[in-house]
Amino acid sequence: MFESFLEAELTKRIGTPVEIAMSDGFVEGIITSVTGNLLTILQTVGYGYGTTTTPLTISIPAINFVTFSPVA
Amino acid sequence: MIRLAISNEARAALLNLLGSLQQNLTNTTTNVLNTTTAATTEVLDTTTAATTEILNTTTTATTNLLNNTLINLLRLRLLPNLSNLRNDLTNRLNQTVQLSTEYETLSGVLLAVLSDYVVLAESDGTMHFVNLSKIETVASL
Repeated sequence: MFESFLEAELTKRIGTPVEIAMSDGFVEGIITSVTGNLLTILQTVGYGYGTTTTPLTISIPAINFVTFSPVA
Repeated sequence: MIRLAISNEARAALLNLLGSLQQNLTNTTTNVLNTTTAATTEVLDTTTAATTEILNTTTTATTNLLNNTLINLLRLRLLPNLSNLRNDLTNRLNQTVQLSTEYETLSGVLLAVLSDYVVLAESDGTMHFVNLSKIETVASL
């Protein structure tokens, strides 16, 4: 049901809205790509990591957790 | 023994007939041999092509499988030793747990424990994929 590695599981969910928590902050966006251990999202809400107009690349090992909210 | 007396003309005609029969036989045999050789070559060519294709496909598939296995093994070796944490969490599968990370403490039902992350589900359907290496404390609720 779930992939063995987070990287593979996130690759399955490209195009899905997510919330990503790092140790010192939180971002919301849509997954646009997963390359190796890098995740790229397009932010829908900006909290200080870059802007909503440029893609944000996140190192997967730096992620505390990824949250998927149920579809409303 | 029967001896037949024939004229020179008849003898020549008979020899001629014998010669042409021999020629016909040789031609027919040559044709049959040529056809058989062509057919055999074609069958061999087709078989060789099919075998080569199968071998190539199998080799590619095997190489890919081996590469993927090697990558996964290397990844597991390179990961910090999280087996104790993973075992502890595996014992709490389907229980309501509280996991703390540096950013936040999460609560929910532990749905799955994978190689480098766990899946936590809240009652409203929200799903958290928590990085194993970022989990600081675990408690059952």
